[in-house]
Amino acid sequence: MNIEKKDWVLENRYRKLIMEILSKEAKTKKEIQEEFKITLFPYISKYKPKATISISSQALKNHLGLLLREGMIKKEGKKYIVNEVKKIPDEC
Amino acid sequence: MSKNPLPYEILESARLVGFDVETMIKEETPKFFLNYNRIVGVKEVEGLILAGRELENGVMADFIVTSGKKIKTPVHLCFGVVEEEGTQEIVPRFIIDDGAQVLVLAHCSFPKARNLTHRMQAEIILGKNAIFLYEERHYHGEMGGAKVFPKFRVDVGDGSFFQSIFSLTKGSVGLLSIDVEVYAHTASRIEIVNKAYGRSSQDKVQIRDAVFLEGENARGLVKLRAAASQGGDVIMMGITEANAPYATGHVDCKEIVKGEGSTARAIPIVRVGDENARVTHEASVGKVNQKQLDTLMARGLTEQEAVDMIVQGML
Repeated sequence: MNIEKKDWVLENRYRKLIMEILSKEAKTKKEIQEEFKITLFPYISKYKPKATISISSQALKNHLGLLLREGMIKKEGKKYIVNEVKKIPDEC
Repeated sequence: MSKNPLPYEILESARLVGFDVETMIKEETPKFFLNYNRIVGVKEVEGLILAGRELENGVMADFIVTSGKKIKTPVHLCFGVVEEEGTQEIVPRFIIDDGAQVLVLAHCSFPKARNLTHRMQAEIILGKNAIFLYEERHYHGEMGGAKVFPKFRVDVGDGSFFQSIFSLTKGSVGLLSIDVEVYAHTASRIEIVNKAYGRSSQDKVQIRDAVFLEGENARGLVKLRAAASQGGDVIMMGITEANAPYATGHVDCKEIVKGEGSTARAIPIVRVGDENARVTHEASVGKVNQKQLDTLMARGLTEQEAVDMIVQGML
């Protein structure tokens, strides 16, 4: 790990997740929010956790604004989609 | 399970870093113990699920506190290796479900490490209104032969509290590379504290603690304390990024450097992506206080003993 050389925009895993969602198809902000769920299931145990985390509307708006400004996504009507020029690194 | 499933050297190092070993090994104490890559002790209590599977070079494990359960006694984790060489890889998932609470005391001990690698790749989720207090203390022996790579990814749900305290202040470090990322949601609270002391040219410490405040009113504190002496090398990066209204964060780095060839670097990074959020930072890297050093040496301590005492006081 070289901690001094990280791409700060995609250092945030949630922005990377938004990019992954938008790399499949164009989506509105509401559709992204519905798809954006953080859960964690056990490796071994059969326990079914209730814990599910959603992204807040304002944080999502801020992330989309940043990704637009950095040219990583573009807006077509009400939908956002990945700008094909930019590629998501495997590991950030 | 036998009453004392861990080797003597592991228990002694647990004692050295300040754990109550008698409580730790009591049969009724909730626990998950590894001796190298073998699971040697598991004790669950109501509401706590501990499941593990041995792998070729390590162990995969579930640590679950079920919804609404408050575990009253601290849970002890021990990842020990008494071999001089080898690899131990731990892949755990911690699920602290909605309304659950737990305190974990983790002990990582490699007392004879000459060429030993320990990797931890932990995923953690806290549901809503949960509390997870995690304290991890390390001991890597005296030969500088450990290479330790803990990596944590943590998602903290609405109204929850996550606290992580890491310390490696006794013995040598070897190579330590910590990478922590925490995502904090609405009205959650995060405290990350890391303490490390590199005291020889074999000791290298790299720490990256990143807190992303993703929910309204989320709060984060990253506190880094380190020292480098006799050629030790320490770099600590504390990152806080606020992406939601009224989120507040603070990064506090303090390091001491002593002796030729020693280096200490502190990198606080603050980012704000919402006009109503606020993040602050402070950082200092400096030498040992000369007046304190002179006072201790006048009382009969050698220079190195005096430096150690001052550093331990800061840590």
